[in-house]
Amino acid sequence: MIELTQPIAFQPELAAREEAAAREAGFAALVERQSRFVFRVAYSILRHTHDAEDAVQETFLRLYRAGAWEAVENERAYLARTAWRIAVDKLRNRRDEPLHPEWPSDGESPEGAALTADWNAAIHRLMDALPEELRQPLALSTVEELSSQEIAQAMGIPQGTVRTRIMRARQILRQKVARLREGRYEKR
Amino acid sequence: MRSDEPETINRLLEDALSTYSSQEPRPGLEQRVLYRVHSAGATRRFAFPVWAFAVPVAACLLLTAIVWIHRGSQLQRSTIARTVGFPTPGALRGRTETPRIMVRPHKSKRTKAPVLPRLPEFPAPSPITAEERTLLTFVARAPDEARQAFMEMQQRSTESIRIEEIKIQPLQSDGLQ
Repeated sequence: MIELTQPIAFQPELAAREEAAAREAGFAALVERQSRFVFRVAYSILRHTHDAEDAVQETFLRLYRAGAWEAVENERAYLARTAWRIAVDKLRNRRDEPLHPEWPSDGESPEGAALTADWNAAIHRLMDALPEELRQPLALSTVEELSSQEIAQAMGIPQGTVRTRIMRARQILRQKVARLREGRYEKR
Repeated sequence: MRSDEPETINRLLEDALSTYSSQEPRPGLEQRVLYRVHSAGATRRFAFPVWAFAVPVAACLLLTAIVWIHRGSQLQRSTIARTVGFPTPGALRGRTETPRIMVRPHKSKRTKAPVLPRLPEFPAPSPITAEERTLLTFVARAPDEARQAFMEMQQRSTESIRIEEIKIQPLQSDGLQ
């Protein structure tokens, strides 16, 4: 039988250290779980890998500094909103520069891409040319399982407005693709 | 236009939309995020707070400015007070004075003047001066001399002033100009 020579005392420093370690582990798990999602949200707005990665880092940094990630109810919606805000700020800062998507046929016009049967690239260019108020909800809708409600929460606009804008953007794209296929696309 | 064209366009559009944001991040994004967060958190934790330096500096600057302004106004007041008198040319010639800055001692509190009772006579009678007292003593001791001196002074003040006519000789000209 083991005899205790000294009574076991509560050590607040040790408890605080363990709590901090648990929090760090929780945050690391959150980053592991959601960083790709945050990247896609940022990339759909910025269309640039490095800028999107910067936005991801900034998003998690803000979350860490706020220190409230454990209390967030819908972490996807929260992260989508934060990432969207940061991405829009970055986009505003580089307003003079055009969107430069990193696709194999970079620099090619939609017509040129269509001629080489690279319809994805052609339609992506048409999307990039849409007005931002239409492009952003449509771009966010392409991110994995992001519902119109989550898009509305992220952008801070009503859900009905999101649906209307997505519908309008799709309509414009359909018209432009039809013109492209008929070979009478005019660059605007 | 072919009959299946709308379906083809929709299919192309859906394909393109599904790949619009399907870009993958570079490998190791999670590690980079965690590194950035921890490095920023560490620097923030151990960073010297800027306000801890800025607040005392601002307070010192404010204090210096207040003292400077206060001293300036005192100096201006003492300078004005010194330049009111008009020294005579002789006095100026006789002495060379280096300018001195007179700083009045700062009065921390203004003393309020006591309220005097209202008097029936206006203006209130003032006490006689030393000259007036001497004159009264002179009149009391030698009233005749005082009366004579007073009459002489009065006569001198009422006499008309005579100014001699100024005579200027005309200039002599020899016509050789």
